Amino acid sequence: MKWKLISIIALILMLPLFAIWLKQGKNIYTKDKKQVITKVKDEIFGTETDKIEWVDEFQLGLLPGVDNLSPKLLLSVAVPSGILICVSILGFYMNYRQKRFLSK
Amino acid sequence: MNIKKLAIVAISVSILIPQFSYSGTSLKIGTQGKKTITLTNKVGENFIKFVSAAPLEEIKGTSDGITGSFVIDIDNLEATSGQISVDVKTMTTGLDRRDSHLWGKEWLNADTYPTITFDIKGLTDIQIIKQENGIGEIKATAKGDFTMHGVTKQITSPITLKFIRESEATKKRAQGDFSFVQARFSIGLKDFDIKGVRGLIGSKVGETIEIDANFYGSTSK
Repeated sequence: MKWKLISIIALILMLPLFAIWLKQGKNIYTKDKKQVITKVKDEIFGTETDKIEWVDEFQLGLLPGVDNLSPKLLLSVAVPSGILICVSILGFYMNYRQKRFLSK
Repeated sequence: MNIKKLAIVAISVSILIPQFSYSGTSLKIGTQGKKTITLTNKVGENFIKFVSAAPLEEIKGTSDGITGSFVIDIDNLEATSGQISVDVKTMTTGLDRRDSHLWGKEWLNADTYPTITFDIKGLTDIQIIKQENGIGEIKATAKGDFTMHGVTKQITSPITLKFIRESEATKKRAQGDFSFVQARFSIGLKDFDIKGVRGLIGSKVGETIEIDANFYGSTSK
């Protein structure tokens, strides 16, 4: 029962990671800057053009941001999720073994 | 007799030549002749946006290191010419390390080829959108030589060009007549002999790069 609970907790812990990843734009790689585009109206030319700025904003990616070696960029969804999946599989396996042992 | 014949031929030619000479598309905005537009951020923010869309990643970048000038002939818009340059080391993608890769030998090789240039050779397919109150607007196709990574290729790009004569409103921003050019085109990395790091083109970096450009300038130097 204890192992089954650990497996379920491990699976549940993955959900917020994926929720953050989905919310932050489903980036493949973790990034630390975001391009912010604002529309600028020009009265003289009668045009609407983009003003582009880069702002510091951490965006969790599926894989670590390999373009930069900062520790922050090494965070990703895949690494902790992989560990949690392993923990979950181990938990289910241990639970299965425990059940078999008890039934004998 | 020969002199008489020669005189007749000379008169005929002088009458006929103007009839057959080509006159290009003109803007009727109360000014004539060639106008040299020098790009300046006083008129508007000069920048390019570039997007590389690949299956594993979409990279968006910008550059504000734009310089150059072009000449618009108000009476013959087809003859528009000039040169616009982008300083490679002003190109940024939001990650310093990735930018240094972009400027590096494997990609744009900024140390050897510090600028990307577009030599405008003329306009075709000109459509006049507006010509009133000292403001002219056209849509056209710009043709010219695009040089990147030491390779020059002829390209075409659809553009929107606006020309605004100096007025009280424009004087508040800068001196001279104003012009604005918006262009959108794409370039293939292979065409410019950019090989990149093995395996990245087509997976993390797009084979073609979409470019959006906004250029502002004035006739005042």
